[in-house]
Amino acid sequence: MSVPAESLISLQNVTKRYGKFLALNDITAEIPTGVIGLLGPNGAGKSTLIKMLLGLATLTEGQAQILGYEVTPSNFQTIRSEVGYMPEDDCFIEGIAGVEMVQFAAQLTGYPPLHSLQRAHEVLDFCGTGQERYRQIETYSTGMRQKLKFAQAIVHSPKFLILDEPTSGLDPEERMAMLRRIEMLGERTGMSVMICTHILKDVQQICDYAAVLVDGTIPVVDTVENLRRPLSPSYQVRITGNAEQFMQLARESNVVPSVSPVGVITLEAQRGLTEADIWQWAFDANAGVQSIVPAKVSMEDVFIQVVEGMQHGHQ
Amino acid sequence: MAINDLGYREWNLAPTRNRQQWRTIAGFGIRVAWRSSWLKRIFIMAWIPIFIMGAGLFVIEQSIQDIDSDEFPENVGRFFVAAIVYQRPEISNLTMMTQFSKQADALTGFLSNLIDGNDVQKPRPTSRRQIMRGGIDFATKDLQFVVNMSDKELQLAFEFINNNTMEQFRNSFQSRRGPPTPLFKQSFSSIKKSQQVAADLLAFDKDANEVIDFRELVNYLRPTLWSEVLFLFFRLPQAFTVIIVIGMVAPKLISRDMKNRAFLLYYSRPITPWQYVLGKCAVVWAFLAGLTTLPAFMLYLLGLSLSPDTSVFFITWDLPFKILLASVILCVPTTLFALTLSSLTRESRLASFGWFAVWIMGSIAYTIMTAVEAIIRLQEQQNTIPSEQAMVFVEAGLAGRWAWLSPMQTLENMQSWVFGIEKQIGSLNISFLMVGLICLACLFILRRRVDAPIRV
Repeated sequence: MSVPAESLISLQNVTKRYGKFLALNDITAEIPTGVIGLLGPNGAGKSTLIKMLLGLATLTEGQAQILGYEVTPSNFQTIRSEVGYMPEDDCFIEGIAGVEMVQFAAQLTGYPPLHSLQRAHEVLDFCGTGQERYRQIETYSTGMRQKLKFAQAIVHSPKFLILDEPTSGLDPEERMAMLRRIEMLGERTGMSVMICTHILKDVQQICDYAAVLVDGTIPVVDTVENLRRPLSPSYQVRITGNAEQFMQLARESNVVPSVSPVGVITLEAQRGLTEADIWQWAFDANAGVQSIVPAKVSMEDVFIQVVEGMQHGHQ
Repeated sequence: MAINDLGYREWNLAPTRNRQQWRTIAGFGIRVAWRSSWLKRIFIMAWIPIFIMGAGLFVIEQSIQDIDSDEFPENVGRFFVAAIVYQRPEISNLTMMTQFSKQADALTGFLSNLIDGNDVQKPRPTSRRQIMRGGIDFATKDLQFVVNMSDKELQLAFEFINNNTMEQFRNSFQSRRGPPTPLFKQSFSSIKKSQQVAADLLAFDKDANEVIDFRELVNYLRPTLWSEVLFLFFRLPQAFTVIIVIGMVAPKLISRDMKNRAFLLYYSRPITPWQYVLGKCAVVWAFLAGLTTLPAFMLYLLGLSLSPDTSVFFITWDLPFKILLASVILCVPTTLFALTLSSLTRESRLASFGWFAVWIMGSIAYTIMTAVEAIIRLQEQQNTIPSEQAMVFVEAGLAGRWAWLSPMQTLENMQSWVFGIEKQIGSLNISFLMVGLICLACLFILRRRVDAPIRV
């Protein structure tokens, strides 16, 4: 586990019980600043962890810090002023228009009405809501409600943004747009963002770090780059010319080649595979090299490995 | 893309309204509720009585102004004011009680005349017609006689007055159909009140004459008359509109937030559960203030501005404070109770139903229990004539042992106390105790229910 010294969230022996059910089991972890993906199967305790950090659920045992503030009732007001939260649940205030709800959220944080209205329009523009903002929320589609929840979470310019399933219910185009917005928030403003999601591709696409929550514990927190690095050296290669001979030369060197339908050759070796070897085989096979890219493991594979590892550990 | 699309930019404005979030909650709540066209219609209807009652105050004040006039039509005012004054139990009782003093004087005169051998002239009590025509006045020595009456003498006066009124009542009851009015029978406390009025009148006697004339009596009663008009305003039209408006507004306030999981939006912001409760209460209070406090102030100002005599301000200066206190008594318990119902269910319709059911069932339970009490008493008394049977019902109603069952009666008792009007049915202490307990229980439940989503 390689995590920078600056911690966004610090958990020490955090435990949360609902009666006899153990939702969070003695978690000790440091979660760094940046864009973080919080992964976990259903019922792993992701939402419980978020609610506990915001003071929406009480801590049974242990200590937690967020943005350097101890998660205690005396700090709840400060934490909530500096954290934006987009809940997973479909929650809204009935009887008001979208823009009014975002304005309301800003006013609840303590901003004056006029500035709040101006800011509400600003973030709704950022979220790509047009004239629909003047419609009553009850008439909104799921996608519109997602955008609205996102807008209310960022309206007060928080230092840390927690997004619970931000892309669920969005069509592919809207999903990409939402991810671009999140990525931009992290890059342009330096805002830390924690995305709690089942969609592992989203994490793979925009997150700097990933934390995996399984059975109430966090066994893995690392950079996405590190997590996706394969255990054995492997490359993805595109070549022109005699591919069959190129692969034959690779096999002779104890390297396992495989070809994807689009013609990308993945080379996996137990040890000692370098780019120089690939160039040599291409030269010997009289083939041209279009690209050599170190191969990466998908987040799905990482997730499955961690979950299976935990299950084996329990057994 | 919108022409003002700036992308995302940080907002460096510091929050300036911390701890005032309840005002935001209230403001949005009012804005949403006010979109109901029915609410607007009810408001228009609720403001109409102030013009009628304002006109009533004008007529009273104009009549008081013309009280000494003998010319038509100004002298109609004296008749009008005399009718208002004499229908007051404490004044009608006092006129009867001062007769004792006059009869004692007559007896003394009779004895002295007997000794001196002069003709005897027996004083005749003032008739109701005389009172209406000429107004009422009291000799200070008669009032002093009433003030000096012991409790035993007051008890005798009480029995005499009641026997007298009972006789009138029986005649009245046997000669026409319909339910008797409970005001026919005076309670002992109203006789004591008359003694207090006698003492107050002696203290009020500014010209220190031997007689408290009709103008002085009217001036003494003027603040009470104004209080009664304002109490009537709170009691009849406003109390009913308040019940309807609370039933329309309050049940939705918390139940809809629960239904739509809006708690997550509220509590992810820097607000406390108490701020949330205060904000929701303020929504209801704002509407109630618009229905009761503001129109009552308007009525008071209208009465003042229409009054031909500016001195009325100096004798009614405390009424705005009484209006405020009466509003608090009406608004706080009702709001807390309605919001508690709202917090108990996700379906606002159920909360509305519960709200109206409590008012209706409370009044029905009060009536039934009073009737049952009277029936049990009747079973204990044998061989009673119909008028006496009816009197048992009247007495049970006046005793108001079950008044606490009716929220309407309980609040009415407290408001009448605020306005200094002794028209309480049942015990005032029980009314205060009931309302206090309900408020505390509602606060406790509200806090628990509102707190529940973040107490897991």
